[in-house]
Amino acid sequence: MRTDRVWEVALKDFAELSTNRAALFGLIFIPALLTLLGVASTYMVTREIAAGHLSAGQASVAIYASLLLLLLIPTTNSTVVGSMSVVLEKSGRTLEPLLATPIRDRELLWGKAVPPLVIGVGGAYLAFGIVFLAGDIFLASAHLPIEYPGSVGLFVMLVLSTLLGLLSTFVSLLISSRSKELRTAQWFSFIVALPVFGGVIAVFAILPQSWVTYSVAVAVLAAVTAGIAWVTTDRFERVTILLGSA
Amino acid sequence: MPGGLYLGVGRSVPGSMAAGVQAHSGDVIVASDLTRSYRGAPPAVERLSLTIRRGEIFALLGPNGAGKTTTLRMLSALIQPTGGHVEVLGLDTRDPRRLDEIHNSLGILPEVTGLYESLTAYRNLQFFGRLHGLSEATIYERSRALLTSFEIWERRNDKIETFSKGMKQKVAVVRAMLHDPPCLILDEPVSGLDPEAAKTLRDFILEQRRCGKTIVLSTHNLDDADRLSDRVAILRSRLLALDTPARLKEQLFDRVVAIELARPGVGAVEVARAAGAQAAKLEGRRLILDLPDAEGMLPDLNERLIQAGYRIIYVQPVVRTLEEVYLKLLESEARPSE
Repeated sequence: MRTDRVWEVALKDFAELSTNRAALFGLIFIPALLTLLGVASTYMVTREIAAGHLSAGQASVAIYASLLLLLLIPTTNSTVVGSMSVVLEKSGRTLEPLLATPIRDRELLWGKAVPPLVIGVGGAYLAFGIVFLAGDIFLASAHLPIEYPGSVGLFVMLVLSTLLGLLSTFVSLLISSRSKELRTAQWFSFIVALPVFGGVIAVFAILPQSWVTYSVAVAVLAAVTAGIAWVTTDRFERVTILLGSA
Repeated sequence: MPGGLYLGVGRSVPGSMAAGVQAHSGDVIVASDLTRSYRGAPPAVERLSLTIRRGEIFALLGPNGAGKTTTLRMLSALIQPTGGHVEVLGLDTRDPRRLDEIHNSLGILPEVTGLYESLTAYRNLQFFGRLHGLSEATIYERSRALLTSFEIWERRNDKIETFSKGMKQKVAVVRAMLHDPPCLILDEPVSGLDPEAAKTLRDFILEQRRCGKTIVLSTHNLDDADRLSDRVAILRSRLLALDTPARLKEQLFDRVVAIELARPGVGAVEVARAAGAQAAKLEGRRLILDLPDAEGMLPDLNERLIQAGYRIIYVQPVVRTLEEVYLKLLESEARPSE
């Protein structure tokens, strides 16, 4: 596999995306809104604790809920960008000249995977960074007796973001390689990605917070992601993409 | 067309990928027993065998759904046949290890230009040039030469979405030529273009042949095929005919001759039939005749007409068009029992 071709496809997709104002708005709006919600809810929790309306335990649950919500960023953004990348090549009829170059199927797949990963996972990293920083500042300045989830909590969130971003990317690339329409590709990709996101939320919000819970949940998510990545790599073939069926 | 382009395109160019493809003196593309079926449908292409020679313009003709685009996709290794095989410059398209060489030796112009509308013309060319492994300097030099020849170099930094159809087609042709392939595969190259743009592209295609390129094109425009191509294949899922346009006309039609008479009359038709004409009719002052052996029959026929009192003004062969050949072949294909 030649990385220069992978990078060239990714750069081209970034260049195209940068000119699509509607898509850019959606990709920036949802992360910005969720980040704002995270910061605001942390601030509100701080005030409620200081006012004596919330216990430390209740505050911890509220903070985790706002953090888990940020995992929507890699799920939605990676799905939206991943679905667009192949379907728009088909609808713009640009796939045929692209496949007539020496590019290999795997190079095309990885080139197409870079933008959704960067936009989804990168956006999530940025959002978590901002919300964690805000949480540290609010709680420290209020001299409250609870600790904001520290570096371990941040690490877990970043691992989950990465896995959800990878899963959403590969699912959307697989589905969009077999779809002719953007809406169909996005719809079916969300049908797969959102239940996984819901499962992660359920595990981390409902089950007892412990290393065992975290480790098992992350391991299961990693196994599912690896399985989907394998299937996508195996089934991402030029004939199928070009003709819609093998 | 302004000068300067084709000398550069047809000959050695720094960084040319074509230089890396081993030269084969014989045939450029050999297709053997090609069949392509899609699930739940009759074969799009069935047992098609053809050979495309170095330096010729080869036209694929056929009605909509005849399998032209499928054939071009198989010839350019975009899809694999479900039966038979294709060799491009001696390289089997089924061998995945040779795909780099095959794709570098072919320049593809799809039916739809397939350019990235939101990117500039130059960024489009840069993208495809890089995928072909060209250096930045080569991409720049070749883009400049080719875009200048089409008089659109000044528009290189404009987005494709601002271009007319003809300009987009020119950029797509430049993209196909950028890596200097020895063989061009053009799907409907002049379809939908205005006469000026169509002429520019026709001139370009002829110039490429003069530079030694092999050109395979599919077209609905029979006049173009007649004027441009050295050989023509007529398809309707399977191969109906393959030959030069001139020989196809000869093979499919008897020699038709028009004799203009000073004072035509119905009796002239009777005389012609009596002299052996297979068909004879009057069109105004012209007697139109189908003569299986024109050279042998005309002297006797002329004498008989003169003896019957007709004055002959001139005798002229009637030239058949490729369109007539095409329609006759398709008609006979549609009624195979007759």
